[in-house]
Amino acid sequence: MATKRKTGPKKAPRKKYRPLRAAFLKLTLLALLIGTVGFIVYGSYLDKTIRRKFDGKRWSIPAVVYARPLELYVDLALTPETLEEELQLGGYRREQAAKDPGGYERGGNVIRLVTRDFAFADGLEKSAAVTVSFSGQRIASIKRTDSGETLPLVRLDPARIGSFHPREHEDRILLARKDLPNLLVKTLIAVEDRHFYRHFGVDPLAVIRAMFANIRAGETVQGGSTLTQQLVKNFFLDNRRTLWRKINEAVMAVLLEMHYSKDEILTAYANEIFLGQDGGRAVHGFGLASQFYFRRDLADISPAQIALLVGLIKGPSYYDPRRHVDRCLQRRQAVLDMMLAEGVIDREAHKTALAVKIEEGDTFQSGFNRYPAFLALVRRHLDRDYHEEDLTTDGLKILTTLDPQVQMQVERELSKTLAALEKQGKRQDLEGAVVVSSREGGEILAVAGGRKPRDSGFNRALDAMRPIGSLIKPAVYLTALQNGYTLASPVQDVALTLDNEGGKKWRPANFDKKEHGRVPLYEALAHSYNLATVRTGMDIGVEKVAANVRLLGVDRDFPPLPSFLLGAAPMTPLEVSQMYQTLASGGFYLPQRVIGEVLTADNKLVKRYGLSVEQRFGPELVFLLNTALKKVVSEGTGRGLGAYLPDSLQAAGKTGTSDDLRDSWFVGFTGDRLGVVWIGCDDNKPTGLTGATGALVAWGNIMRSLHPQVLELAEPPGIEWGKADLRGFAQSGSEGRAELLLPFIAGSMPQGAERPSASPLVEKIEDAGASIFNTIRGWFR
Amino acid sequence: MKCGKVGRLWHIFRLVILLSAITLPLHGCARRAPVEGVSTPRQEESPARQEEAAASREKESGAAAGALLVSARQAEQAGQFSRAEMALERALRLAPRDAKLWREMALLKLKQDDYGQAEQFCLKSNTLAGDDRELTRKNWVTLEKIYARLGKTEKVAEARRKALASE
Repeated sequence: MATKRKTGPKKAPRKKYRPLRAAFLKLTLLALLIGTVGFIVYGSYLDKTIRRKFDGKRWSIPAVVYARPLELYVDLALTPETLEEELQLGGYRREQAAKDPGGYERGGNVIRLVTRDFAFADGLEKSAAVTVSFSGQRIASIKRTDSGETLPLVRLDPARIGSFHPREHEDRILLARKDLPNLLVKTLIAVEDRHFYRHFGVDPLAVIRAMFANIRAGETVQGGSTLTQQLVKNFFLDNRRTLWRKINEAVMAVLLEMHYSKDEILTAYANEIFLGQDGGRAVHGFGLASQFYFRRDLADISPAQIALLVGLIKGPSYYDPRRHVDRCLQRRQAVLDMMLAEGVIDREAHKTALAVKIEEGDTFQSGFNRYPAFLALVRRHLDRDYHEEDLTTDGLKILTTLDPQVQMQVERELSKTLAALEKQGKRQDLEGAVVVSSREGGEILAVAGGRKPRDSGFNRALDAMRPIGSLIKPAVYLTALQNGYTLASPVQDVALTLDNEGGKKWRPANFDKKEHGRVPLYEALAHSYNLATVRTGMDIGVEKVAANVRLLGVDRDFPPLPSFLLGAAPMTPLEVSQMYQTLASGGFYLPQRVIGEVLTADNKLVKRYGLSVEQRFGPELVFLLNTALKKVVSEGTGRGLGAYLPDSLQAAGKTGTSDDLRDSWFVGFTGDRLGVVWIGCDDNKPTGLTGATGALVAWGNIMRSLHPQVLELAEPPGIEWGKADLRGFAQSGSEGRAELLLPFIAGSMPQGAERPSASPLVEKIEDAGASIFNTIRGWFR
Repeated sequence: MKCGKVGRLWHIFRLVILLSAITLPLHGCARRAPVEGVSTPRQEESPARQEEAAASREKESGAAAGALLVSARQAEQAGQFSRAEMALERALRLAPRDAKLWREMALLKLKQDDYGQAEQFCLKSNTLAGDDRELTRKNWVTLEKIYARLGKTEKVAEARRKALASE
């Protein structure tokens, strides 16, 4: 202790000085330490962020959805205009002379086109140059353009109609490094980042050069950002020009360069860069931009087009080639000059490219995500078998059943009809939904979820549950036919009172508030008599009817209340469609399909949704019922269809109206298609429309635009025809009752029925030529 | 030097093997039936089947569906049932009411031991067969086989009766 004290005074001055210096040192060290740790922590945070972003982007390839491929063959009902419309939708470009894949030319009744390679589930369909000639609204011949060889069938590559991307309203066509044309890469480097292959993420020289240039010009004329920095900027889509952001960007750029090769960065850049806006969809990457602006694959674009795209990077909307042609041209010429100066192109190519005009703005909107209602249904079917992740990252190819021609007509005619109905009526906010499917295949060809087809909001076709009214009646009478009734059986259309839910009394009435007395069953269905239907249904039992509705394909339990017999059963238009599909296909249940196949990104078949059928009702029963459904159209509540379609079409259908005219329905089928139309208001208020004055009109307009085929019912063996003795029935407006031939299941013909001398097959085996003629004649009515 | 000679000989030998490996399958290809989409029936098809194909091609479904039927059969013969089904479904899309195509689908399902769907497609074919008694008879004969396989004795008898009735 003493010694310490002795030495103490000697060290006193140093003692005073040392703590200060030590503290300072310590503080500096601490600050340095904190700084370093902070820097490392923050750096590694940035590192993690940027790597996650980069890897995520690289591997997330959205599932792409395709329409059905158009099959061209001789005699197909198709006009050159319709084919052109379909080609446009599929991203084909009109040219003077079609020679590259994806091009077509048209001269009057002849269209020459070059299809693109497409890998279908059953193999690669090679690109083919074909010449299609039309005559009389049909395809007259299909030939190979080069050899003139006649082809029986040509399958076009299908149109892309949408994609499932994690970020909505975005889409991309992802390209690999090898898919990037050399000229594009060289131009990019010449224009945007000359030292790309030499710098480490940032290019200080370029920054200094840009600074001087900007000072001289007094405004920002040049950027010093490298491609890597631009990529980082694009990843975070933040346009704030703050210093902090710039520093972050620079650090992340350097980090990116540490982890990934130049080629990886370049490829990511080419797929990520923002190049324009297509309505609600952002156009990212050169692959999609090339399709969007030129309707060509990136591999097929010219030097002038490359210059245009690279020029766009500076400001996609400022230099928009469709809205600001002059500005865009100036920018492109400047890029071409840079290309020449940097030796990317030679004088000759430079001169040629300068002379190229900017192609006229192609205003036709591509099919991309144009059909949100249909895509929603595709999505729902996919969700049964796939996880969200599979759909947004694996680049699956989904081949659907959408028929763009049908879809376009459905959209057009629905909105036209609704507008026309509103002019006549009181309501101004009518809505509608439509589902069209193929009659024998159960493939859903078109879906309208509302009158505004681009709206991806409430999808009424899938989600609007509305009482189906008289659409239930075919199920009631099918059950009756199953239980001993015939089409000529007398049924009583006379008032009655029943106990409904909770012991409440229920007094159904006819639409015209009248009673029609004793009528034959087929008339009760054709004229949609409520009292007769309820009496018949009560006689056979509501449970049996409800069970048959289930068998028809509506996968739901309905309480077997008497009011069920008049359609107090809410269903969606899609469910109604499935229910009638079973009738349209002759008693076979076909699960309706929207997806044909799912393929991996490299075209391996993952899943196929094949055709399957299951007989649920005897063909004789359904034949009888469908004959009565034809009567609905020829003389019953559906006869208004005659204003839209020729009688020779012999369509079958049924009207439906719910209480207080809230819902207007029509379902019907022709030889080739089944269609369901619903019209109503979202607030569920009365529309003032019956099935016949509302939905039927839309159905007629839609089908008329689709070149429908004549409905010929296949008569199964074991059917007998006879004139039933209908003298004991009440008078009715129905003409020719006495002469009417009705089909009966063998052995069920009522006493006193008169068999015809000759088989009444005239209707059935109508000459095919004549029916085609009738169809054609019908279009001109 | 010797070593080099042996090496060269070995090289030539390898070339020969390689060349023949390449050309052999080509010979196979040349002998094989026409490319997909061309509507000539295959050589090894039985006359009855050829007739059936020709009839369905000309009468009901036209050349396009006929071409697809041919490629469906080619795929089937090659054991590619999924491809065959896809081709048939394409044909059915063009000619959905062609009873013969539905029967073809039934036969294809039968080949894959899918008796349930084979039965259903036969029934479907029958509802569209109309006056074609021969087709109806064939479908009942097939159904008889199917029911026998499924052990549905009652239905076997019924199918046999209906097959006889269609003769």
